[in-house]
Amino acid sequence: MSEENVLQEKHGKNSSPFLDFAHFKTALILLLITGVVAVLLGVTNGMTKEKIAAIAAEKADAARKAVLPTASVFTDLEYTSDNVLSIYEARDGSGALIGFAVETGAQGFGGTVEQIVGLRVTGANGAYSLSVSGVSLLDISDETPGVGSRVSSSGFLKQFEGMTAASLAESFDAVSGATYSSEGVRAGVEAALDLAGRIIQNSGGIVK
Amino acid sequence: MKKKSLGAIFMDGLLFQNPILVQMLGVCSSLAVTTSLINALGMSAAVIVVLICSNIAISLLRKIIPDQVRIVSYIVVIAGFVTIVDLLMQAYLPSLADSLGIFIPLVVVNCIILARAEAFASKNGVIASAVDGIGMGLGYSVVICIIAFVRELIGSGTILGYEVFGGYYQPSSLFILPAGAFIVLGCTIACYQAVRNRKAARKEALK
Repeated sequence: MSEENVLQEKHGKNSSPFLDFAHFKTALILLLITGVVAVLLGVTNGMTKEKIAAIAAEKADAARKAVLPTASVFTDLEYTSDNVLSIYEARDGSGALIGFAVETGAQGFGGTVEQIVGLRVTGANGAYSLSVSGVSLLDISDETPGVGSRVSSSGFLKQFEGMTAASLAESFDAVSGATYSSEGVRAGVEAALDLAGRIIQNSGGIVK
Repeated sequence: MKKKSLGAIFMDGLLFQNPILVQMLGVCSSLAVTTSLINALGMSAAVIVVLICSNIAISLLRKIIPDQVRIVSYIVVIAGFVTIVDLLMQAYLPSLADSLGIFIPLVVVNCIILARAEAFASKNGVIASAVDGIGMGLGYSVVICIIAFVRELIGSGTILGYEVFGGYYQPSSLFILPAGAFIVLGCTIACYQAVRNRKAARKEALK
């Protein structure tokens, strides 16, 4: 302690910074502060990581259920395509395939419009058809608040319900003033119908 | 410097030294989140909580933190502290994290937090710093809620998402866009200054 005082007296506060013990001490304290904060962050992260992941998984499952309420089990098919981030097949309690839940991310106005599209599979042997059972938005934070974000209105999203690839190609109503954001939603729905359609075709039209 | 009473510290934050209207701090966030009243309320809650806690933390550490590296230390302490709270909230209060989650990272870089650490908490005791945090936080909240109220009312014709004009009003999207934020903020500051100047003039006349 006495040595430090002597050094501080010798150099003073405004002396040369080289080999100055006061500066060394400053650096040490800064290191200590950042070290303590880093350890605390690490401990908290370790404590909460699993819990946060579980909550996120639960939320994702709830989002899929929201667009396909009759489904009870979702399985990731691990397919992707343009604008499709992931696709899940949905089966009901008896294990029959009832549809797909597709997470899509298509270009909107400011960035990607992330949404989940529910598709219902109907029809019997050999003649399956796909229609939209629901669309719910996951992340539209890149769209202009109050303008592009209006695509989240239920009226706009409801129009997709019951649509097939053919009827979607025919017409759809964009939100006025938010054409690009609306297009992002539409492109996502289209990509979901397209990929699910191809999956059904590749399985020979017979889906167990 | 004369010691101020806690009441005076509080009123400074709320009114006389209002962070947005007088100090012009945190203007960026106040422009960005005020598109709807519910966003402003969420941001207000996040700012008040973080400001009080960061003021207390900095005040406690003010004798340990060396002068030369104080700004770095403040940022590390505040950012670390807020991240911990954010993680804990996500794990144990997920519904609260849902509504406040997007504002928490915004708050870390809000300059009000750093400014109060530098200007007040690093020079004052724990209780005074906490009161300063409450006052400044409320001062910020009141102003962004006023701006958000006006912008949502004119720009969307709604208040907290509820239609107030019954469909007879054509909303002006200018007020939702960034330009509208500047206009409303400017008018709010002008009103505040007008009231202040009038009060000052009256005081002058009495002398």
